[in-house]
Amino acid sequence: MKKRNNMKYPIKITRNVILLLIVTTSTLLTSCESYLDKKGDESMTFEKIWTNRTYIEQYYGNVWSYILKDDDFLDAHPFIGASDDVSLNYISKGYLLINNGTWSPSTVPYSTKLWPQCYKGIREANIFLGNVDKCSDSNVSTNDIKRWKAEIRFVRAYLYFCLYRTYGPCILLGDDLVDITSQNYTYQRSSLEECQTYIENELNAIIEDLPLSISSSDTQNFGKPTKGVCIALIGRLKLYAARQLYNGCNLYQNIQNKDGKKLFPQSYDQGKWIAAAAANKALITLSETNGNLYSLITNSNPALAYQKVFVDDWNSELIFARYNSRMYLQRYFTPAVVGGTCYGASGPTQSMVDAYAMANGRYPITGYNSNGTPIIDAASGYTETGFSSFTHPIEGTKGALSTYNMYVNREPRFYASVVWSGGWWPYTGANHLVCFAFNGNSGPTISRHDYPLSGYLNRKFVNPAVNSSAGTWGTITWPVIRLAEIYLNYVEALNEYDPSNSDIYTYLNKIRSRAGLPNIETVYPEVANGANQSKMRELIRKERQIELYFEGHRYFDTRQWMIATTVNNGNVYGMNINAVTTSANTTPSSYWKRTLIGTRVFTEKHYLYPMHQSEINKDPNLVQNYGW
Amino acid sequence: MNNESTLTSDKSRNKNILETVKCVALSVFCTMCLLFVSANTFAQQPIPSFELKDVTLLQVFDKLSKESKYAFIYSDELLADLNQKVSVNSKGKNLNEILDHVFKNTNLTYKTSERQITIYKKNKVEPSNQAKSSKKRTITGVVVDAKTKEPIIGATIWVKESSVGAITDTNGKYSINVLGNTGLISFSYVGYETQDVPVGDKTNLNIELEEQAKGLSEVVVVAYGTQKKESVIGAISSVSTDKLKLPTSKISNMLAGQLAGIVSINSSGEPGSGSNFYIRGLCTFNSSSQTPLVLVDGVERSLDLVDSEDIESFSILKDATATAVYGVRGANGVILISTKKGLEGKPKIAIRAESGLVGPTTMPKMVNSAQWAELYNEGYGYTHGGSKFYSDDIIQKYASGVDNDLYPNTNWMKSLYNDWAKNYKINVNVSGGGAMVKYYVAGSYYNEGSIFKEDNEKVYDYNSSIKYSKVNFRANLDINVTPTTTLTVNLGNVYEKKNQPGGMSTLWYYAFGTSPNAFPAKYSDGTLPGPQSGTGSNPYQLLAYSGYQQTFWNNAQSTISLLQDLSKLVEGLKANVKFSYDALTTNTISRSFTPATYLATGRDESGALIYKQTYIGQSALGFATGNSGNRVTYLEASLNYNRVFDEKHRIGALLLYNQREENDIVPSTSLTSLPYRNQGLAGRITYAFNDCYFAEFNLGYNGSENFSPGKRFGFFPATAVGWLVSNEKFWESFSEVCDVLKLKASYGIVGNDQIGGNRRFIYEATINTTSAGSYQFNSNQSYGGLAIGDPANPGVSWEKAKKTNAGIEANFLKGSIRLQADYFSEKRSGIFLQRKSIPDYAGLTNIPYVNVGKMNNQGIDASLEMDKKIGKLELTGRANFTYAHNTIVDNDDPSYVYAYRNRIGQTYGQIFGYQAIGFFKDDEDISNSPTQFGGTLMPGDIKYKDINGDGTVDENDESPIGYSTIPEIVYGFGMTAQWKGFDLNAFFQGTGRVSFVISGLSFDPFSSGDLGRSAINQDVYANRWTVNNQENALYPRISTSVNTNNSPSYRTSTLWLRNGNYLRLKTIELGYTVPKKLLKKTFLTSARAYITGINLLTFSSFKLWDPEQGSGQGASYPPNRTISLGINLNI
Repeated sequence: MKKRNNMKYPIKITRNVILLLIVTTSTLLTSCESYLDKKGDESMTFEKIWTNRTYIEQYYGNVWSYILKDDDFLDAHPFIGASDDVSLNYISKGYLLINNGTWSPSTVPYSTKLWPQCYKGIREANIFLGNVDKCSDSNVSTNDIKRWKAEIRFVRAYLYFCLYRTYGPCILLGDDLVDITSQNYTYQRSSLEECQTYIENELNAIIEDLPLSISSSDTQNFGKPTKGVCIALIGRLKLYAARQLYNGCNLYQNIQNKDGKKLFPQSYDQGKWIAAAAANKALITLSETNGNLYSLITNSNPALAYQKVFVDDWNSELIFARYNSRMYLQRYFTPAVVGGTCYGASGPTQSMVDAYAMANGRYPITGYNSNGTPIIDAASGYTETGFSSFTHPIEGTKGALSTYNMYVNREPRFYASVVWSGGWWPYTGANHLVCFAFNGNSGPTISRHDYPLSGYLNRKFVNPAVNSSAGTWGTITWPVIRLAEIYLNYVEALNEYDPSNSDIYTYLNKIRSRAGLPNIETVYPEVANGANQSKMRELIRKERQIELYFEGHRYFDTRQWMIATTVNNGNVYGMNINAVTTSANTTPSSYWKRTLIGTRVFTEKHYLYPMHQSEINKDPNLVQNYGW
Repeated sequence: MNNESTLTSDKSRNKNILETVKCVALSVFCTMCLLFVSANTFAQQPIPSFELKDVTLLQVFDKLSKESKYAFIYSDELLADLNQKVSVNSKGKNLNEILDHVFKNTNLTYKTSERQITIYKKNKVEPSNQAKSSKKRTITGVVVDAKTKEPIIGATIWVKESSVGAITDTNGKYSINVLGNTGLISFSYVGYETQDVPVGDKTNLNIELEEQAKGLSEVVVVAYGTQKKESVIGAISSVSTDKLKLPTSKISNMLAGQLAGIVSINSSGEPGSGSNFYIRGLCTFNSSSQTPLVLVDGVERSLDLVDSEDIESFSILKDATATAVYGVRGANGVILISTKKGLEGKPKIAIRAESGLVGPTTMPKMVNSAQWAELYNEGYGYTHGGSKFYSDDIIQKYASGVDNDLYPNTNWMKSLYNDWAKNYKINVNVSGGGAMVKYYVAGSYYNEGSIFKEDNEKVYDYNSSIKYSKVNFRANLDINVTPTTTLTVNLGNVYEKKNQPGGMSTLWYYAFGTSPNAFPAKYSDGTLPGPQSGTGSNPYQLLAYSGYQQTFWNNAQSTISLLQDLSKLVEGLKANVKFSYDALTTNTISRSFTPATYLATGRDESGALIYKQTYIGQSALGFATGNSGNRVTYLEASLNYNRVFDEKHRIGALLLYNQREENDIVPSTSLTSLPYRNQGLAGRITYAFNDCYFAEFNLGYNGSENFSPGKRFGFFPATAVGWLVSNEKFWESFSEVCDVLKLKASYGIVGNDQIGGNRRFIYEATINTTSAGSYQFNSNQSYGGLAIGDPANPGVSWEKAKKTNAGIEANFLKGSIRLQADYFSEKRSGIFLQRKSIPDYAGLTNIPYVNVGKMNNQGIDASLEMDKKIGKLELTGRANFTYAHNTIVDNDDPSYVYAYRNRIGQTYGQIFGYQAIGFFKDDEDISNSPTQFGGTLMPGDIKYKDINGDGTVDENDESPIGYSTIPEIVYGFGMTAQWKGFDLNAFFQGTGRVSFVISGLSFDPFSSGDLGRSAINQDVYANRWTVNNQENALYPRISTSVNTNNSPSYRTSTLWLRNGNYLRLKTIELGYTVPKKLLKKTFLTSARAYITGINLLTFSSFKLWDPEQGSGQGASYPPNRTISLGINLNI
């Protein structure tokens, strides 16, 4: 038999299945014309931003956000960690490469936070300035727009100032946006003086549109620029322009663009000091003629007065400040013994400790021998041997301690700035005696890696009222510009061209007197009446080092004075944290020994930051800084 | 570029094509619909008119069966009667009327039954009645191998359409009971061609089964269909599925070395983890799009969700002609998996069960506390005039272990990990079916534990160890709803569950980082140690006291497809519609926990430990959940045409429409909530002349919604030619030696739309509303939240790959040696990358992505198989080899000052570093050498080569060193031996031209700056530079803090470079199959027991950890070796 198929099929079921399939498929297919025609329906578009006050303010805040966080001293910038007076002890942070000298244009620490971040802010500012006039919201007045524009121009000028102080000459873009579709980028650096002029002109142009002051009830506008902020920034800008590095120094004379344009001043100009003095004096005048717009904080306890500058939010001394949580600072200062989050490994080097004057106003250490031992000014009354019973001027109620004589009888600011082993931690709610020795309660063994390498922690910027072990940190108004700096800017400039000017003594002594120290000419009669300009220069610099410690100035000061090759190069000393103790809370006597804690490398090329090599690869017209 | 008119015209063209697509798809359905209706009512319909004069009855039947598709059945005895001549005119008559007419004057009559017409003599009883009424009778016989005439044991005999079946005995004999003499008896055995024999009236049927010819008669799975292996001219490899049955949870772990063209890296042995795999190496440096497209039963699905037991075929498509139909998805190659289907026959039950031990291949070894202190003292001495940091007394205490609480000497590897974990797997499947419904139903369970130790005190009521389990269910049904229609339903469900410690994410890091003297795993009084807050973790706490996390993956896959044979309309035409709906959900429950920890600081007078609390700890487990998932629908409709004309023109064609939609079911933004869609057409034409000359043309036309309107669709054509030389007449004389020789070549363009860039609708600009910066002016005033986002890129498109392939296939000595080799070359362009040439001063926050990258890739892949029989010993061998070398042609990198630093021109993943030329001997050596990176140097520091000769070693002296971290050569070879019931199978796998770099805390002693987190590898202790070991030193001098000159994390150099080549005994299996004789009286048809070993031996110059783990310090779950026992039963 030949045979083919022979079976029964459930034909009805099949038909239903098939009909079902056809219906489903046809439904799916009918939509296929527009199957892929679909786009995002995000509510926000660029045009929409400029129609509404809230959106504009959101964009406004975004422009501001590119301003460097001065208090983020580990991750945002090298201006504190790579400064000669500070010892930080954290792993894998950019400042280490700078201190080791092992950086190059291809390995630039913090490179994304400096040059690129400033230019991001500048682009966003230009977008804001180019579009905010479109605003159609009836809730926005022309005055609002005027003030916004002035404030954003301030941000842009400030960002250019940040580039100016770090890199020197930079690329001035004006109001233009760089074309991002280009295949070739051929921008060039403008000269240092062009940059300075641009920043100054921008600041001058907006003064008129900014308020003289922000009333104490207008808390929402705290932290925004005023006339005084612009004037003060011009003062600092002009001081920088007058100092050695930017005033015709020969290292940079041959830095020129491909077309031969010289980027740095070719000769020294004394007139820049005059301009710098005048610019700083302008702020002092503004303040004094407006009922002391700004004033130094004073107190019967000078150590407390100085502490309040860094603890009291929005105090009278601040010209321009940035509000933030204090956590970003204080947790890096808090020793392990406190408990909670305590990364305490930031403090002064021995040379910074040495810099503080004695209570009598004289500076105890005048220099160092080649083996690192100090040269002591006997007239200061300083000694490095023995112990005394000592009561801390702020912690007084906690009682006297047997204290190493190095820390006895120093000036009040020392006690408001430094925590030493065997001393009190400032938290008022508990009595912690810190010990940084090897197996001490805050030393290398217990703290693993977060312990002070130099054997000192910062007290400056610590708020003693805050219980950090419970995770509370409080807030801070970081002093970007404060009155004492302007006084110091002014006297430094004056001393360079008019050493006998009485303003030098007036304003320098204002700072000393607030700090509880006698007048400078009383302690050092040889500098009275401009008799010794160079000694006076040294004293002004010392005063600046102490007063502005850890505020981010020293980095630029030592570079612009061109002394970093001396002070920031070679051996760094601290106390002997490898000393072993028998009790975790007691600092052993073997601890009190100047100990080499590391070396720093600073050569001439380090005076200015390099641009990243990749930037030069992208735009071959860019000229690198000297030595890089 | 994109002016309005171009946009519109492009759009309208797309619409036209889509319109066509829609029409084609709809017409397929309409046709199918019509056919079903007609099939049902055919008998009543008139036959198309025809007129035949003086023809035989047989000729009439022929004509009628063509017109009506009815089958005519008659016995041979009637042949004489059927040659009677008749005449017929069908006009206006239906079938019955025609038949009545032609039989009028004969002694024949007929009976219609559904679709068949049975002819018989008028005076006889109807045959069907006879069959039904006839008595049971027995047919006996012997089944033998057609060639050897040896009896075949265990062959299946089955009366089709019945439940009657039998199996041959040890002598090949069978006996089977049948009813009547109609129907077919099917004889089948694995590896032999099935024979269907009519029952007839015989009582003895001796059958000779022909062995299935190897090689060209096989069918190969190709894109959207199958092709005879003979006619395949694209580059396609497939692997026998037995090779993919290893005791591991994921198929991707089984691929290494198995197929020519696959590069696979299994860097983790963590339960439930899979491997990375690439086809023919890497062709793009865009890391979001390097992986091949994986299709399971024709639907894009995860490879690792398929159970290896369920795989029917596994193929990879490598060249353009094989992948062009996937168009914009096919550039990285395609993996095709089809799952098993039921076969006609009695239900077959297969059971496979195995259980084994799993353990790491290698675990790194760390120094003990005394050695650790010795190293620290050594480093301390270099900078402190030779003085010691740890006193001899302390070192003595570490060594003696007198006080393990205060002077611990913890071997973290032993404290945390066991040597072995257990796994087991069981799979049961049942398959079978009749002519109408065939089924394959399977279930499997896999469970694997980890080497993580559990805390036996069980202080907390949970188990935090890693446990992974996976349950698979599968049901595949094929239903022949009409003789020409097959409905296929494939259902698969996979449930995975994984439990792991809450501290898993940092466990390996701390296990490999914590110093031996930091603290014990637990203090002797049971107190849990832990370092000062913020300075690390106790790895034992992370393992056993950190809570737990459970993840569930639920995956359901369903496919329904309908295949309609349209031969009635056009011979050789088939239509197919497929629809699938897949859903995946992932749920995670985290119960994290951080206990109170303490550090012992000393002992009190009574000797009890004094503690400092380092962490306050939680009182209860934390709780968090996470969910994610997606669902995917896919629709495909196709027409397939295959026909031979004139016995020499074989023509095939395919036209296919598909669309796919994926929805994120837990979208994070409104943008990701929009469906992700693809749509396309695919076409193929194949032509073969005399089965000797072959040509093929493939076309993909498809697109994705991610590209701008008007630029969404692309054409991806590919063509191939082949010449089967061995089918030529002139070859006959060579065919004794070489029976198959085929040459083939292909060229085409394929695309890749998975371009990354991490955003959708790249052609539109975005505003950043989620991560824009803000500025806090005061406690009550903060602004921010809006910024410019990504710039618009109106030209965004897919990557384009131009692929060339040339290959040869040859079989020698009657197919006992089979060789396949291909050369390939690919030029990839339009690689989507973030521009690198825009300077920072442009101030962009989001750097735009553009299609400008270019990369080339070329190489060969080849496979060789051999069979050999020596007496009763059967040997088979196989080997395959892949070499792929790629070059970055353009990645938008500006040129470096020194050209040797350019990444352009190098291989993707090429390691760059310095050339270490030894260690500084002394201060004189340092002063006579170029300066290095501006730092201060000491004897024992690494000395680097000043490549550009500028007198200083800096970044400009970095150059390519070693190879890429992805192997350029991957190979595998193995052999199977069978002797009587025993079989032995060994498979080796290896890689070549691969490098990696060792780094990490354990090779960079004390670089963490944290003495508690400074574990050191034993190798460093044994081979470091010291004053007395300068010549043989492998590592630089010890430093007690970060030494940027020496640290591998600062200066990658040849000192840290390692050769990543390895060869390993990937699998070895010894099996024993119980002789059929012994199974005769059981319900079993076959039984096999086996023992399998995976990764038992590794040959590599690198010994510190498994070379497949690659760069770093081995601080991750190492690849496993496994020893398993298993049984395989068939019922």
